[in-house]
Amino acid sequence: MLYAPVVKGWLIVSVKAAEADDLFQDIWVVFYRRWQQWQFLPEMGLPEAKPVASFLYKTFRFVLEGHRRRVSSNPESIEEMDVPDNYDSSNRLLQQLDVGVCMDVARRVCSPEEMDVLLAKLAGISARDIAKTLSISESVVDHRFRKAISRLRKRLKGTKNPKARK
Amino acid sequence: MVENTIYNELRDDWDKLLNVPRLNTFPAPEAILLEAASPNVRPVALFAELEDARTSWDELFKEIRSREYSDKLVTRFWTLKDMAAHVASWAKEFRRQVEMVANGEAFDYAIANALSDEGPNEWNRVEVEKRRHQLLDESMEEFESETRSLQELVLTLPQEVIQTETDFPIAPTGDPSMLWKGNIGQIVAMKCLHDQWHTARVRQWFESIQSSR
Repeated sequence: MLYAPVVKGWLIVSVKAAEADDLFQDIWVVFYRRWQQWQFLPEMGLPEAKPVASFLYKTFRFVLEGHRRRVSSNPESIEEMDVPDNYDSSNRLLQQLDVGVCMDVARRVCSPEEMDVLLAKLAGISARDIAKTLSISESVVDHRFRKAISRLRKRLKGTKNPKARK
Repeated sequence: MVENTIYNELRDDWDKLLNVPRLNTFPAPEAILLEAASPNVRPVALFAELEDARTSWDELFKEIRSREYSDKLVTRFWTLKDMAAHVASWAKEFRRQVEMVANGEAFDYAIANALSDEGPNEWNRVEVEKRRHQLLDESMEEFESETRSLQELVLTLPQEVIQTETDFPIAPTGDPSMLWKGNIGQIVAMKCLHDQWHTARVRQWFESIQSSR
């Protein structure tokens, strides 16, 4: 589970805390099912680590898209998420997590499109793979990244050390 | 310089987030593997699998610039256009099957030899023939639109409907009275596997003709 922390990080920043662990499972289910078919996929010819990370990012994006659509068409669906009977949701420690000042500001001031790029960059996904996954050009990836940083700079302006704001 | 500082701060926050797995808040990997192998997959995961299959096929055809190769043989019998028609015909069939099961309707037909080693050759032949006059781009559009409809549909379905086992119009032995039993989750997984398999085959074919140039 080398990549599990990265996937968790993406989810924690992108969705409500209570939704993160269900979506985490969705991502791995899709990943494992597809991974079993890799013997006939083009990823085979590539170095191991890169396709795994970029494929996970793609899977994360697809799951997130499905989740957002489901929530927008049926807001109650969150309430009826499939939590096992023996699962005590009040113990979901995610709700107590501190995502960090800079990341928290990024979540609030960046558009979802800018966050998509930012999160992929932080996980080391190449601009090319980000562009391919989001169906945009590499120059748009670069533009969104700069825009996200610029928004953060404006918001954190006047504080030499953003962490001091905490 | 300021940009670098902010990015470094973000990286620090990100690195701290990566320590989250130490908190035991997520299912163990073994539980997820079991879930992946089971037919009980949630609607969001089905949507994501379909999105992956749809975009893989779409990306491949954009790369091929299909018109140039439309009439080239990709198998012994089928051209690229026929292959697109075949994948489109199954996209329509899978969407219809899921829609009917979701509506509680019964099937009055069966596809002989589907899910068998022999394969549903006659059904495949008839469906490709029906699309003989359809342009490759039209088959691509049919695949796209049918897959998107299926994606929207699965997102609206309650989990219990996705998991309910029922007869599908698939007759592996060729006998229409002996239908395959399964659920919507399995049918969607089957569609994705089918799409990805053909995507990979067409990609191999395309790469082989590119390298021989």
